[in-house]
Amino acid sequence: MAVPISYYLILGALLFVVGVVGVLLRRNMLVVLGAFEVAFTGVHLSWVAFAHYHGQLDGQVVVLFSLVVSVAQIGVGLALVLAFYRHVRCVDIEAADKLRW
Amino acid sequence: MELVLFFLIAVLTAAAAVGAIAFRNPLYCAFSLLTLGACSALLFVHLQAPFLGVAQMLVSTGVVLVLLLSAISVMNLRTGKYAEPLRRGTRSAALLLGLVLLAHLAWRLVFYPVGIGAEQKITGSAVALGQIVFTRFALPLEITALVLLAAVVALLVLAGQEPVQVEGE
Amino acid sequence: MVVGIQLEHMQVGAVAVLVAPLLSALVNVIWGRHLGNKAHIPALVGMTVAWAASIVLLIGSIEGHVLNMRGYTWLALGNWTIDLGLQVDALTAATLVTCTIIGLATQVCAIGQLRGEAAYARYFALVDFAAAAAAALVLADNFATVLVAWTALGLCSCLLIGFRRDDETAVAAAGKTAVFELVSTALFALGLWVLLAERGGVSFAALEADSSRMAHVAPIALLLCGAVACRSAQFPWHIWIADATAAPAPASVWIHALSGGLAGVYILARTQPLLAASPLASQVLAGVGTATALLAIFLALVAADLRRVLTYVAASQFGFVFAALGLGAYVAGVFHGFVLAFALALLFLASGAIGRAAPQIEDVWKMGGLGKHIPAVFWTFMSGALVLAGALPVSGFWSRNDVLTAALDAGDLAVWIAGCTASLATSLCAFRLVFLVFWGEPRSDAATRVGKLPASMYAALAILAFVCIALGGVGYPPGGGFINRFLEPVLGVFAQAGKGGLPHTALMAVTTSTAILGAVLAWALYGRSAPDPARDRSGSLLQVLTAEYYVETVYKHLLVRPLQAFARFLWDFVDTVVLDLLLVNGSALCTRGVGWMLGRLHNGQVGTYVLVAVVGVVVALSYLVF
Repeated sequence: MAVPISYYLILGALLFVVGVVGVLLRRNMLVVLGAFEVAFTGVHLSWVAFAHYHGQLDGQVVVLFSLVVSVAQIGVGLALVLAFYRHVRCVDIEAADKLRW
Repeated sequence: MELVLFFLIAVLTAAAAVGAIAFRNPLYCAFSLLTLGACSALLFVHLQAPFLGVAQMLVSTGVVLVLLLSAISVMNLRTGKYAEPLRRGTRSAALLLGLVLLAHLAWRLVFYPVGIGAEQKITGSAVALGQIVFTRFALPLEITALVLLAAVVALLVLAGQEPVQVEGE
Repeated sequence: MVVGIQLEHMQVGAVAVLVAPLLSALVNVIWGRHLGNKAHIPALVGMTVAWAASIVLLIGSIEGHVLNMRGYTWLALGNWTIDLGLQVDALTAATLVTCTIIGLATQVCAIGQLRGEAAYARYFALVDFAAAAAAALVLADNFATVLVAWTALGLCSCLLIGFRRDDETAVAAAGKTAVFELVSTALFALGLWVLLAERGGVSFAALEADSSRMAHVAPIALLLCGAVACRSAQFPWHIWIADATAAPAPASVWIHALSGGLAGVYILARTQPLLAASPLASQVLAGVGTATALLAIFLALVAADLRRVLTYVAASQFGFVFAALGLGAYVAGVFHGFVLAFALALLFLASGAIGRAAPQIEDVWKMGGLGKHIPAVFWTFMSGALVLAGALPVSGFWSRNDVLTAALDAGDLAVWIAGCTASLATSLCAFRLVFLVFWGEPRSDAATRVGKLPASMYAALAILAFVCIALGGVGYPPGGGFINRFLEPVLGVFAQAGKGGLPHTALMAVTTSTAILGAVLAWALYGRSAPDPARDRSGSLLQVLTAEYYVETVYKHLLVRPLQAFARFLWDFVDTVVLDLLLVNGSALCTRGVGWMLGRLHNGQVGTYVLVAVVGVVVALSYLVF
């Protein structure tokens, strides 16, 4: 029998929360970017689930665009991490503390 | 049958997600991300979105992971050297927030469950998606292309800078 | 009089009296430095014009004209209106003539007295301004202008006392005077306030309506009397005149005789309807006046500084006048006031001349035998002393007699006896001065070296001496003289004239005998170069008198110390702790503290910023979900 959409949505919510917690908890910048990926995955799952529920493809189109933008974001983020690494020789988020009082 | 399959993949996805943020070694995190991408692709296919499933594999696993792995290797982040503690001060706050967020989302979903949905299911094939994208979502398509362009330029600028001279290694 | 003075002439005259001294004061203020030694010229011109105008006014009012220049509504507030205008009637004209003659004589004397002073022009500017203020006070037809002029006169007094700016005692004395002038002005203003609330206007016409039906007659009358008494150094406000001797001698005339004397008498004469309607106020006035008459003259008997003696005598004699006004004998009181003004002016100017001739000595006990060196001053001083003593036939006798007769006629035996005692003591005091200063052998070295005096001073003294002696003519015969006929239409007839037990000739004999007795006593005590009888005894009476009845000490403990303690409290607690520490520094500390706390949020960590963002998301979500 078919799977109720709620299960997909719960899974998506779980993935999102895990991703957010990961962003807040980890010190390694690369892992933080990965946690973003996890959150994105959760969101995409929700969108596709809704698209499936309504029987329309608009949700899938949105996910398509979101995939593209997330890739761009990860790429730029990695470039920034690289540039930071060149100056400070580590990828610790707590080392980036110059914008302070 | 579908339910069982769904649960299996769902458990794997959740495990992969938790692993992606929990492993100390960033390499293991990357591999968890790989698993996550594959599982979510499977879930997309299950939700009548095959094109997206393939796109997810290409993007998430192919592009993202490759980037991540190359970054890790460029920066010589070897295993064992890393015994990084969780971020000070935000540990409890983050966990608390996570719980609260989950509670919010679960509240809506568990108490107001959404059912099966419409009878007619459309498969999100390339043709079908293309028909929508190039007609109704033409403007977002162009804008996204612009965003991509900007990202590429940014990448080139940021990554092309001279490395800073460092004494010793 | 064959001179036909019309109302138009009087109008011009009234304005001239007011404007001429003011203009010359302005000239001296603006160009005083350039004029230098010639600064007396605009002053003399102004004063002479004022004097001539006042003669015009006097002749006009003798011919029966009364000038009323109603003007100008200054304040119209609901039920209250204050109209400003000028008015010339018999009382005004007489007072103006007195003021201008005395003012002119004072200025002529000042030319010689202050020659060579650095602030020559400033003196004349101040005195002209005082003259203009006095003219405004006398010419006014409403109490509002009187209040302003009263305050201006007080200001001039203070400025004249502190005339020598680098002398610290003079400046301190000016400050002390300022306190009392302010008290006087405040009392006056309070009285006017009540009057305004009661009647809705402060013009003299507002008083003329039936005063006995006013609800608050007593407070108004008491406040106005208090204001006048404070300025005239009546007991217990007498402590500022001792230090007022720091003023130049001609200025003392203004401070004690005119501003602190005649102006007060004039104001009380104008409040006559109120005094007549309020027995309480009249009694209080009579009581205070009599008390001062006695107390001040005792102070004068033990004082050694010549000018100080004269100020005490002035306070005592004006107390006498106030007693008369309190008893209801307005014409007698005003007449005595005029006589006193001339006599005291003469005596003050003479003391100034003595001061100029023998500069180092102010103590009477160091003078002596000056009569041989400066005979003109001696004779003019003598005539002034005779007036004060009340010897027949000078004016002092007639006016004093009127007052004493009135006291007996009003049935107030206590006041009569006190008055006679005061007359005796005044005569004693006056002749004490004559004998100690001019008679006998010089008591110190400086008394033998007496300089010459400029002619201007002699001229001034001569004018005043003549007026003093001649003024008696207007008061003769007592009760029916020219002055009575002149002033009674304004001030009202003394209701109880002739009700006393003794016939008038007997009373005249009593008055004369007090004068003669005083002179004889003075001769006995001081005439034959005897040493100071009071000096050797350091009894408690002497101490009390020297300390001016310890009133100043009472003030210090009752008023000054608590005020100072309060001020210190305000500084130590309110200012330092509450304002500075709590409010000013405290608010700054709070701002800094809050800023510091908020600043901690910006720790530069990306993670913290993300945390805050997530917190915001959760909050928004809660709002939406729940």
